[in-house]
Amino acid sequence: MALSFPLSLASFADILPVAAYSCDLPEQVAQSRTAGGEQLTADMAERLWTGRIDLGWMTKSEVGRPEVLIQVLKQGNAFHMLDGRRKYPLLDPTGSVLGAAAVTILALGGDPRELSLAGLPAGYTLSAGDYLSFSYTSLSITRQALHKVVATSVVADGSGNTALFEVLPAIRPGAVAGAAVTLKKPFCKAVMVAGTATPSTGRSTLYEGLGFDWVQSLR
Amino acid sequence: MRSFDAATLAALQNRTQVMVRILVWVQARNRSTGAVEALGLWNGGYDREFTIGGTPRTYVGAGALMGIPALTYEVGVNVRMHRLTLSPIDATVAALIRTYDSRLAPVEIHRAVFDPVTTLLVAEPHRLFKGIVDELEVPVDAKGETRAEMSVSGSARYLTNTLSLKRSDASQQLRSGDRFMRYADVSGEVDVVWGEKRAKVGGEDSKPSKNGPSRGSGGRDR
Repeated sequence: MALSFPLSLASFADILPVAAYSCDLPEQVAQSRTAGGEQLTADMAERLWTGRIDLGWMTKSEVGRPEVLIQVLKQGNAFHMLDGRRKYPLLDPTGSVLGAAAVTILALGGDPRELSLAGLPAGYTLSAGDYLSFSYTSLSITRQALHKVVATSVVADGSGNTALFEVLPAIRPGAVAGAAVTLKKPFCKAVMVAGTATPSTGRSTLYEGLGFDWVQSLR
Repeated sequence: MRSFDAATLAALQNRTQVMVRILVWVQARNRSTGAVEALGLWNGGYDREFTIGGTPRTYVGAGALMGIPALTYEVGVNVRMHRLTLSPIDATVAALIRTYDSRLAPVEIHRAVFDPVTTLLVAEPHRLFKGIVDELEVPVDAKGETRAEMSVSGSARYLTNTLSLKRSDASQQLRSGDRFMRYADVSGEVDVVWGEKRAKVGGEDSKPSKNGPSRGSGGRDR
């Protein structure tokens, strides 16, 4: 069967033999300094998750599938992508503590930077730098949000609820309480940055150099 | 001088950071149905509803609107044009070009001010510009790159409407089918006979003709 887009984690991101991950939320500001030394900044655009993935040395039998998928996705097709450095919460490195818990958004704060979760195991802890993702609907299109925990640590109470805590970036309009939240391999929808994919170079037995930049897509 | 509401003024006077987005609203005619439909574009990252003047409006984001020139305001009746750059590969812009007849469509540009920390809208977006779309073109340059540019003119353009555009039968019929101007386009060209004399256009030839009434009754004609 032909591929359908966006490609899920299991069919693309999880099968890549990655040597180096990066994942960042670059600033989108214009800055100017006055003669008086005052730093003026203006927020120019939406902040989107971006990253680079470099694949490691591969043998002839390993290189085929990653290479052809990258060639498919180069043309602007979407895929799901995660920060491979933090696939699970810091204090639950395999996701086994969370198990099959159905985590949902308990409430959204009046400040769009805050939300609280429900359905966690009692005492479950999220640390600063952990990711969470959930889908939301804005103007009848389903989108995927990826946020990073800013609060130092978030501990679920005896009934599995947390207090409001801060995430980065601010939650966009459309998120609702009750939405299912992914803590194990949280992902966003992404596309490759055109022109950044590097081809694989073959030596006698090993292949190297495959990699690409990706950027989050809100559509 | 423009007067802002208190919340907007406070956000713009904030000396640390401003977060401003531009909203463009076009009310164009659908080519297939003839109905006037509205389409909004903004330079935010996602599609969003803004309530302006009590009415929610949907603005499409994520790259549809690429650039807004520095808007120039001036005193007087000059018709000043501005060129907005749109993304030619965006589906919404393609719809604006192909499904809607945007020629002379009313266009409004608003500015939305957000709190840079919480990203909440501080107040209802205020209007920067109101005018009409002059043309929407998709030029392709020699290298094969396309742009989509919408040129808009200010409301001073309405002053260039000629008399026949404003006082025609068609324009008068827009007011509940009023036919007052039915003969407006032939007025002045058709001779109207009052009594025995023909009134000529310009009124110069009102002298009685040689074969007219006798001299004694001439005074009565005048």
